[in-house]
Amino acid sequence: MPSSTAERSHSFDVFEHYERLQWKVCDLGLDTVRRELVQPAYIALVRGVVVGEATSLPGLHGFLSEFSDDYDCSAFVAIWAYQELQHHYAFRAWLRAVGVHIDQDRIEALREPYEAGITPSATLTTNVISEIIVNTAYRALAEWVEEPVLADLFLRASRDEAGHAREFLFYLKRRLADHPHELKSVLERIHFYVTNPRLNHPVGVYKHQRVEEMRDHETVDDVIDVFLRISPPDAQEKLQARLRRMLGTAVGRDLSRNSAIRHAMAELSS
Amino acid sequence: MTPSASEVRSTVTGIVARELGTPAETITPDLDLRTLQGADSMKVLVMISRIERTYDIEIEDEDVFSLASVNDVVRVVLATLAATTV
Repeated sequence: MPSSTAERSHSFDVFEHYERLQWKVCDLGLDTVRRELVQPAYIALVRGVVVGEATSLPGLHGFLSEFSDDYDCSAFVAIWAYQELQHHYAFRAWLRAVGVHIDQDRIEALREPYEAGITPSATLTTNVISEIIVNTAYRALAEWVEEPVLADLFLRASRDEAGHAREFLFYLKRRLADHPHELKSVLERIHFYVTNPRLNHPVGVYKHQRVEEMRDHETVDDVIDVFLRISPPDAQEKLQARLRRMLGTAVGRDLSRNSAIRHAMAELSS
Repeated sequence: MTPSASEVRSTVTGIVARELGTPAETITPDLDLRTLQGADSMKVLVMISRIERTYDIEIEDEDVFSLASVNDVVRVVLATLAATTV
């Protein structure tokens, strides 16, 4: 008997799609790492990536609580969290291959779930932003690093993050269609991330900058700094323009100017 | 004609009071608006938008994030108006 809600099970499509694309850590060829090409900067960079990707677990916890009324979105988030944890372990495995180990106590310190967003739509927006930033950064880093196994890993992770951004956008659009009153909170989040003079990554804002154990450890903020350092001067501007375009399409508003975002918020408050 | 500082102050105070549902007389020019009850980031951005629309200006991003009091807003509005009328 056909289910009346089959068309709402987007996560089923995502699951099948991801299964076709899924790679394994053993595909990376970690025993072929070219240690002579590993620069000290790569170690610091990957340590920041490892703790960044580790926050998918508290992210999953927060999501499952916040979306307790949405099985489909929760199912997608479980798939997403698996891939993000895979990134955490894959980058950690690369570090181990070059003789560097991560202090598990640092990882444990990240366990506390994220606080709920202003609204569930705001949380989805934050995740879209997060995924687009790391997709862009990882792609640039894949071209920059000379060690081929690490370059390949950055490229694989970058592709995964692009897929995650696409799915979070899907769930954001669907959530807003059912909960249009949450749009104002979405615009506020977009405004924060596209107008800030520093390129902020949500994991840095909501986790790494708040956890004492991260004080003297490389974090996602260091990863962003490397990305900006190796990129052309307009990299941040281009990335923020991409965020405006993708999110503008999702919310059906012109987000090309910061004042336009504020005016859209004011209209919704009238 | 460029409005005077007192005119801008009165208008801005009115917008802030309406947006936060606070009596205008309780909003002194140097009061840190971020400490007022209900002044979350969404309301602050809406207030800034209403001020921009009132004076047909666009406040610079670095100013948006540094505005704390009515006097700060008055200063920025007057500076922006002066820059756009030169």
